[in-house]
Amino acid sequence: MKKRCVLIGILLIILTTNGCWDRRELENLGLVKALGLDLGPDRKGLTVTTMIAIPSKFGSGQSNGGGGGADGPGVLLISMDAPTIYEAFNLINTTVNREVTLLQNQVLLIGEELARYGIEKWVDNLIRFREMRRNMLVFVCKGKAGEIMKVQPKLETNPAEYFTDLVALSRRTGMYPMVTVNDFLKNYEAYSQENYLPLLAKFQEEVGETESNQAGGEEESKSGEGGAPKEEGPKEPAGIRLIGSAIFKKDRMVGVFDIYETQILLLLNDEFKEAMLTIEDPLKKDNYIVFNLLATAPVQIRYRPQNNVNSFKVKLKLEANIVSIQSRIDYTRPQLENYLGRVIAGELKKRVDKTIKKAQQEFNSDVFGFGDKVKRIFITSTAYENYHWPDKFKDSMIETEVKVDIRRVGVQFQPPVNR
Amino acid sequence: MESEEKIGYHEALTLLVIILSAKIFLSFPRNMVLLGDAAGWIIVLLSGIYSLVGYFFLASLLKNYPGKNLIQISGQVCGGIIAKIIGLILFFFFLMITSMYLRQLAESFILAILPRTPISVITLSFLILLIYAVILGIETLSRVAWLLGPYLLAALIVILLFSLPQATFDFLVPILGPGPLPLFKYSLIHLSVFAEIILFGIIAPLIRDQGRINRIGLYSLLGATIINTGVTLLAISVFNYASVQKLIFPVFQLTRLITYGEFIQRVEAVFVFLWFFWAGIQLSGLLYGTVVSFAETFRIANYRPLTFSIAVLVFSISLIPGSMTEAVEWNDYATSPSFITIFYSAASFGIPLLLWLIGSLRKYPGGVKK
Repeated sequence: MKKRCVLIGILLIILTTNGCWDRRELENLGLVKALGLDLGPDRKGLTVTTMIAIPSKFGSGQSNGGGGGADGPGVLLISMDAPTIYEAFNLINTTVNREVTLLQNQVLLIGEELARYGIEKWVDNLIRFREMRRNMLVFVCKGKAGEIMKVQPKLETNPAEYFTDLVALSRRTGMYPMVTVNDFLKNYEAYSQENYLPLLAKFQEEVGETESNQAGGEEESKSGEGGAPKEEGPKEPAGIRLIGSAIFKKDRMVGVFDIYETQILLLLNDEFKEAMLTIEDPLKKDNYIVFNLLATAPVQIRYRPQNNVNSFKVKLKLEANIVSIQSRIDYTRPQLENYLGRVIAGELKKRVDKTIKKAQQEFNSDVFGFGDKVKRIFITSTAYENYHWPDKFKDSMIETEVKVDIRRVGVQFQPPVNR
Repeated sequence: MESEEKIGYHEALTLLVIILSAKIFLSFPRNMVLLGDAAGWIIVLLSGIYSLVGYFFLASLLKNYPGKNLIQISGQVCGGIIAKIIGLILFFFFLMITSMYLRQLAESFILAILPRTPISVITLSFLILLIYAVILGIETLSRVAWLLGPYLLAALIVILLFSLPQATFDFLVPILGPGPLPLFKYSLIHLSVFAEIILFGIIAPLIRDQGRINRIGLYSLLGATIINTGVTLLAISVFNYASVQKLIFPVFQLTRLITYGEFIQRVEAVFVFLWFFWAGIQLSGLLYGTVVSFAETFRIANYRPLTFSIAVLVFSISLIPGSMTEAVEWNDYATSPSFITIFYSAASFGIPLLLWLIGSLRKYPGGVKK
C-alpha cells in the first residue's frame, strides 16, 4: 500500500510539473545563430541584425543549402533600430512569429563604426542577460556588420557556423585571433592588457584597401603575396575574409593589424600555434623558401624597470620545418640549416619590432600583455593601479630576441635537380 | 535527545565536507574576491587555518564530554538558563543559514535554468526534499552523502579541470591584493566561511567510532579549505579578479565557458545535477541542525514532528530579502562585515571558545576530567 502511494505520488509529480512556467517548445523559438551590432542612425542606439535559423533548411544530407541554393539560405536576416539589443528583439518579435532567443547564438559581429565609437554602453548588454554566453565568438566587421551577415557562404548552409569554423582555422594560420566575450572582458577589466578582435571584411570591396593601407613593410610585400585573393574576381556573389585584427584602446577600436602583424600579436600572446610562412631565399634572389613555423615554447618576457624606464626583454624560441625550396640550394645540410634558421629569425625579429613599435606609437595600446609582467612586481592592487601602466606603455623600451631552429625538412633531403 | 541513529566515520566526514563547501556554487568566490582582489583565495586559506584553531576548542569540549552534544555540554558547563540561551543562539544560527542558503539556491536556479518559475515554487519543492531527508534522519542523510559524495567530488574535479585551460595565472597578481593587513583582518572576520562546522558539535555523539571524532572535524575542515580555496583560485585565474567581483555565481559561469570542440559544450546541464545533489545534502544537514538544536534546547525527545513547523519558518525567512542582491548581501561577506557575518562567526567559534574557557576554569563539571 505504501509503495503504491509513493508510486502514485511520483506519477502525480511527473504529470503536473512538466507543463510549468519554463516550458518552451522548440518549434516556437526563433534561434538566433549570429548577432550583428551597428551604430544606429541617431548614433545613440543600435542597428541590431539577427540571423535566425530556419530549421527546415538545415536538414541533414539535403543539398538545399550550398550558399542558399534553390530554396535560399538557411537563415533569416532581420535588422531593427533600437536603443538596446533587447528592445530590438521585442521589435523583431513584432514581425517574427517565433520567440527570438539567444540560447543558440554563437557569434557576435560588431560594425567598425560602432567599434570606433566605443562599445562601453553595450558591454553590459553582452553579459548580464542569461541567454548571452561568454563563450560566444566576437568579430569586428569592416563596414557594417549587417552587410557582412548578408554574404552567404558557399560551403555551409549555416553562415554562423561558417564564421566559427573560419576563425577556428587561426590555429593553422595564426593570421587572426579567436576571441570570445569572456576573453574580451578579461582584458577589458584587467588594466594590464588591451583588447584585439578578429577583423572581417567583404573581400571585393575591402581587400585592396586594407592591403594597401596596412601591409606597408617590405616583409609583408615579400611574404604576403601568397594568400591574398585578387579583387578582379567576379563581383557576385561576394565572399568574406578575415583580414587581421582590430586593435582596441579601452572600449574603442583604434587601428588595425594586418594578418602578418596579427601573427606577431598572437606569438607574443602565446596564442600562435603554427603557420606557413615564406621568405625570399637569402642566397638566390627571386626565389622563395616556404617553412612551417611552430611555436613550441612559451614566449619569455622579462620586465626590468631601469632609471624610471620600463624595460622588457622578449625572447622567442621557435621551430621551423622546411616545406619548399625553390632555388635548389641544399638547405638540408647542417651548416646551411643553421644559417637559414638565423635568416628566418632575423626576418621575424624585424616583424616583431615593427609590430611592437606600431602598437606603441600609432595605437598606444598594450595588446601584448606587457602590463601583466609589470603587475608582478607590485604587491598590492592599489599600488599597481596607481602606477597607471597603460599610460607608460608608449615609452617602454622593448628589446627582442628571436631564435629559430630548423627541425625537419619534410620528406626529402636535397631538392630535385633537372638533368 | 534519545536517538538510535549512528553515523559512520566516512559518512560524517563526507557530510561535513559537503556542507562546508556547498557555498562554492553560490556567491562565495565572488565575495572573497571582492574583499581580497587577486588574493581572494588567500582569505579563504587563512580563514581555513584560523578555523582549525577555532575547531580546537570544540574538539576539546567533545573530548571532555564524550557522548554529549554541544547544547548538552553547555548545560553541564554553565547550567540550565545559559544552556537554553546557547541552544537558542545555535538554533537561530542554523535557521538563518538554512533560510539564506535556500534563498540563494532558489535564486541561482532561477538564474540558471528556471527563469520564469516563481521563487516560492522552487523553494517549496526543495523544502519537500529537505523535510523528507530530515524525517529520515541524519543516519540516512550521511549515508546518502557517503554514497554520492565521491561522485560529486569527481564531477566537480572534472568540471574544474575542463576550465583549467582557460586559466591565466598572471591574473593571480598583485599577489597580496589589498595588502597583508586587510587580508589578515578579512580572513579573521570571515571565519564564518567555515561556520557550519558547528553542526559537528550537534552530530558528534552519534558517531559510531568515538575514538576518531577529532579527526572527522579536522579532516573535514582541511578538505573544505582545499575545495573552497581551489575554486576561488580557479575563478580568479579564469575570469580575472575584476570580473569575478561582478559575477553573481562564478562557478556557474565557469561551467558555461567549457567548450571542447563541437561535442563537449553546455556542460552546465551536468553541473546543475551536481549542484542540486550537493545543495540537497548541504541544506538537509543544515535543516537537521536547525530542528535538532531547537529540540535539544527545549529537551524534546523526538525532533521529527518539529520538522514541518520549522520548515515553514525557514520558508518564510527565505522570502524576506526583497531581491537577489539583498539575499546575497544578507547572508555574508559584504565588504563591510554584516551583522549576520559576525553572528555566524561568533556562534560557531565563539560559543565553543566560551564554553571551553568556562569549562577550563571550572575544571569541566560533569566531564571526564572531573
